Amino acid sequence: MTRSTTDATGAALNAGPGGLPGRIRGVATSLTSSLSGSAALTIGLGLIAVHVVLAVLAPWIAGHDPVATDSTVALTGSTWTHWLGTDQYGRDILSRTLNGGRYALLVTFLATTIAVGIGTVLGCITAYADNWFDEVVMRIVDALLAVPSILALLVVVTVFDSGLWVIVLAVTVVYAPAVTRVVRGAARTIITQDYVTAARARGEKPLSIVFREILPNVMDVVLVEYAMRASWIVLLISTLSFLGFGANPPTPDWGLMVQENRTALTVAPLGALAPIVALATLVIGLNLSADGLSKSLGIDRAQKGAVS
Amino acid sequence: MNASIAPTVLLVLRRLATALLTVLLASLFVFFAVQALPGDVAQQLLGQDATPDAVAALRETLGLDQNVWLRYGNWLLGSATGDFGISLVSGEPVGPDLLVAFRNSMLIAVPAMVVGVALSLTLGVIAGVRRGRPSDHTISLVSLIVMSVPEFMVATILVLLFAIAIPVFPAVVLRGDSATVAELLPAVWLPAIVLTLAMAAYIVRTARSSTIDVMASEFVTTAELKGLTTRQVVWRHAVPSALLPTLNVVALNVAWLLGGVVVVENVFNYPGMGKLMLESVFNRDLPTIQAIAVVSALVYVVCNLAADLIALALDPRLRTRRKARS
Amino acid sequence: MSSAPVSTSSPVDAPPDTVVHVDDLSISYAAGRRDVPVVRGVSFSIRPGRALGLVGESGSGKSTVARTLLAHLRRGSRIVGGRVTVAGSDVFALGDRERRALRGGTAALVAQNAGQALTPSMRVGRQLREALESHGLPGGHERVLELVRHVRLPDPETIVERYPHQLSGGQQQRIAIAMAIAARPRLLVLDEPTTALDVVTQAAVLELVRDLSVELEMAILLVSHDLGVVSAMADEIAVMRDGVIVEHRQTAELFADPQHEYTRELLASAPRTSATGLSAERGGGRASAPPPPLVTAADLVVRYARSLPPAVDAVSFAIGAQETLAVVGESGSGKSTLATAMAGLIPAESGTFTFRGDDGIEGDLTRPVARRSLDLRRSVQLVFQNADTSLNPRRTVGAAIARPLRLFTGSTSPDRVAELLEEVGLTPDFASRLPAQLSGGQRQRVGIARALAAGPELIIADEITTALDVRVQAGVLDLLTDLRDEKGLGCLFISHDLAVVRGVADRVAVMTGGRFVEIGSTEDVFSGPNHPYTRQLLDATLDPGTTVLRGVDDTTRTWRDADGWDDLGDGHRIRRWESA
Repeated sequence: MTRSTTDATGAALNAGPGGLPGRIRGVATSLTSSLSGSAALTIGLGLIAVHVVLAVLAPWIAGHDPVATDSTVALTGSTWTHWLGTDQYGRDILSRTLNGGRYALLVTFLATTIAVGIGTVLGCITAYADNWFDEVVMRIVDALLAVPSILALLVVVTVFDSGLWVIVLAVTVVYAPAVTRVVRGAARTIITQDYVTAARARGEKPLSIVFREILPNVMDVVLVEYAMRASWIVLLISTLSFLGFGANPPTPDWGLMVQENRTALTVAPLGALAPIVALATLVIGLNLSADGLSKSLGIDRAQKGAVS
Repeated sequence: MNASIAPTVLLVLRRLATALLTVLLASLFVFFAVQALPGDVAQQLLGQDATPDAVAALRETLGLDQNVWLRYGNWLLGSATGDFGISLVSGEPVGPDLLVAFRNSMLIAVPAMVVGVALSLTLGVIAGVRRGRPSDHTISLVSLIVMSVPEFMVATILVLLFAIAIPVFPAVVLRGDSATVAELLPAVWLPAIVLTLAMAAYIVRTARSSTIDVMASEFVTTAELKGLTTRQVVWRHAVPSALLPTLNVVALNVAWLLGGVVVVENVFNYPGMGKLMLESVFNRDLPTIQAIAVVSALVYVVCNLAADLIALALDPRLRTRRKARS
Repeated sequence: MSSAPVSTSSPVDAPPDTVVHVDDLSISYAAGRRDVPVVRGVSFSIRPGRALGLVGESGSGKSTVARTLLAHLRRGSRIVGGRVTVAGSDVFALGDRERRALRGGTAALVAQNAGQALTPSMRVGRQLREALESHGLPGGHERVLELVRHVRLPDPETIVERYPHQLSGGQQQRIAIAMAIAARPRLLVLDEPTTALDVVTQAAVLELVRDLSVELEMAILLVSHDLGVVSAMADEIAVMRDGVIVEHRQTAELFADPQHEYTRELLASAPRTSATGLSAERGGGRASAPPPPLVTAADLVVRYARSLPPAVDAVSFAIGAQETLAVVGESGSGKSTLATAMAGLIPAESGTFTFRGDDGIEGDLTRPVARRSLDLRRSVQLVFQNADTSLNPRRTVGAAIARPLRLFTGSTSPDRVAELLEEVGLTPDFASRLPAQLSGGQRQRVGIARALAAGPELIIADEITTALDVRVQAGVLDLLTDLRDEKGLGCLFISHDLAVVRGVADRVAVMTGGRFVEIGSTEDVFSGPNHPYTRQLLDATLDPGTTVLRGVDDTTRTWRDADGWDDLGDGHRIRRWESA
């Protein structure tokens, strides 16, 4: 008989990185998802933290006005006054990059929180209901998932303008169904556990069972979901800006910056590369956090249908 | 054996019915969402300075004064036969244009799909089997980076490398919407490569982690302890089970590919469905938007259906289970 | 741990005729940055045709040792010292090709759960053929069929076409055995081969293994936590604890005269079907005044779906206050359904099922829990089989116990929680712990405390000790008996294990195919005369120390139901039957 003993659980929780030797190699390997959860999680959260701090402090540390144009210094390379150079209008690329994440981070935070919140509650309730209600909600969820998310967003943004709450709500509508589906899957395995049966046998109210017994036990899945959805939403929002449907010029925004500076890539590559590096590090941070979380919490992303 | 056929057929039928229902529901959402948008189609067709009479007359010809459910029914019936209505921009039927755009998208999506799925499943399985070794680290690191860099950047870099620095492929399609297949062929390479990379990253990671799971299962240990070679253990015993959880991810990525790859087509100015989507949104060409949404939904549902059917073929246990729910 | 292994047949240098020789083997496992030793200085050898039993509780390292014989180590484990020699070669020094020849060729493994050990996507015939071909043997259809016949499976032509999930547990295990003996290995390693099987199937599978080992002259290493299984199969037994062999003796010697304290403890905890003092003593005190029944069921029928046959079919019984009624049967007999129905988690279809408590609480148990009164829900409490999943991993022990307190008594005081913890043999400081910080036995005690918190009159115990080690099981069973006596609780005790039942039950009902076939006082049922099905169960149950396997046939049923019951007096009733 294989029994899960306390030792096994303890070992799983304590499972840290193996050997210490070879610092450089250690850092290189810890960037990959094949590493122990805690290392990936630390790096991931660290990257996110750096981004948040920079975004909050950007107006004070940027040094230049991100929208101030100066035709005398257009498309310079790195200089002492403009570390990362300037774009075609002479705007400081470093300042624009530092400020460019503020909007994306805010939208991502709001949209992810609302979408994951709604999806989690709905997922738990439908899983517990397991009746016509479940069936109806899941059919609606399926149908919503079938409509391409980018199209829905594009339409909403063109019609209602790209205000903060419009985008947040649109992203919520697009992502809440996917979260619902994943959380429902996780909740269905929780429901078969004896402690839920015990609560039913005590005659607890359905909502009490959902919130006391089921919800706390899908929180690990939800956390991973959160990190992963956030990485998608960041990418989606900059894609919108890149396509010209998001932030309006001259607002500093990563997607928009890439679009503006793309043609000058051979002359002043930093104009497009700096925002890309910023975006990529943020997304890598979110992905590493998702990976690290799922590893240290013992969730398998693959089983949960990670990319739904 | 006969006994197991009937439930399988029932399962498949049930799955088909669900798929159909999903498409219907999606079309309903799309139709009513578009109806709810502000703006009047007749007004837009005639321009701002049209007389109210002319607008009213056009509304009547277009059937806009009818009951909304009736219009939905008509539109649905039309869509089912390929008649998606009249484009507000060109004044031509939407169907033929959409068909051309869809065909063009297939031209880059199908190769990307075939190569991408095969390559990424193989790499994912290899990384999973060789967990912790250098080859695994390399595969995982590259897929993480590719996943984290937006497609518009991958596309831009590839253009820089292979169209500007070393001019092997054309950077953008100049012919626009009227290009024939032969004219497009030289231009499909770069978009197809970007798509392959974008979808492969997710599939590699999913395949890797499900392979790791399966490799730790008891039946793989049993196969190993039977004296089989690693190759036999992996490909005969582990892979069929490892592919199961990967299928849904593959299906979603394929649906995303086929359903219009907006960014990539925009960067390369490639006349596919994604570009048509962008243009129609920009021009508020509602009938075209509706048509694209429904076609994409159909593609999504068909891909998921295919994934379920493949799962049914791969895992005999699914065939006999009483209640196979999604 | 400190005491040296007691060994009469001390394994020194490998005698030339041994198949297996393990010499001072030590293995450790890397958990985080620590190296945890899991096996320390283990030595033994096995000669052809002989069987060694390796006994121990979970985590003792017995499986780890067994698998080294096939040069297999768990990921993260490594050999720290010592050698494993099979058929003359050091298995961890083998090259790739030789190691493959060893695995399945010289030595073969039968794992615990054949349901998980067979590849789900492959027909069993193909898996058997593979086992032959990977060792250079012809894998023709006829040869595969022969293997299937060799493990005494009926209708081989159909079986080889099946997928593993289409076979029963016993059939799966036989296929796994067939796969293991395909290349006629010299050593067969059996890792808890029958733990997942019903007792009758277990007996048949063990008999098969024993016959095969004689026929093929295989050496056997049998790993088990079950002293009965090991004593019936093994010529000598090694007792393992915390990675060390504490005692290694001839089977008969070990049972007659255990030397090590731990062995004695294990033997004392093991439940037996042969008489123990407990029930006889209790039986005497109770005959005088039969208490009024707490629960009465008559012609009870429970069904999961209209299209399915009833899971519980016209069952009648009564449970008195302070009485434990045990229901025994194999998996699928309907015994757990009966418990589930009593708990109100599935409604009864027909028949009467009533509760009448001491303090005037009455209720209809055919109703689902949502339609039962608070008092009735309070009076009937359920304890689960698997303590690992019966506690919410995110809530502390204290919170788990406080919940029913609040629901049923309206108040929760930390004092009351502490009191309940002490009643089940834990200390009050457990209240702040999470289930993951508890051992299996402790979790099960918390499960019982949670049931007691409601202040029940009846406890439904559904296989509550199945997942526990034998010493822990003994403790939990003692607790249950004490509670029954002190609190006057009635108990429905569901179990597949007659030996366990013997120690705790006042009365026993034997269930098969959804029906009771026999019911009576524990004493009467164990002394007979019996229904043929009960007889079969009793014959198949292996007491520690038995060295014989009574031939049990698990494939054909020798009886069929007839009308009516025979009353043998004292409430001992047997369903009439006729030979089939």
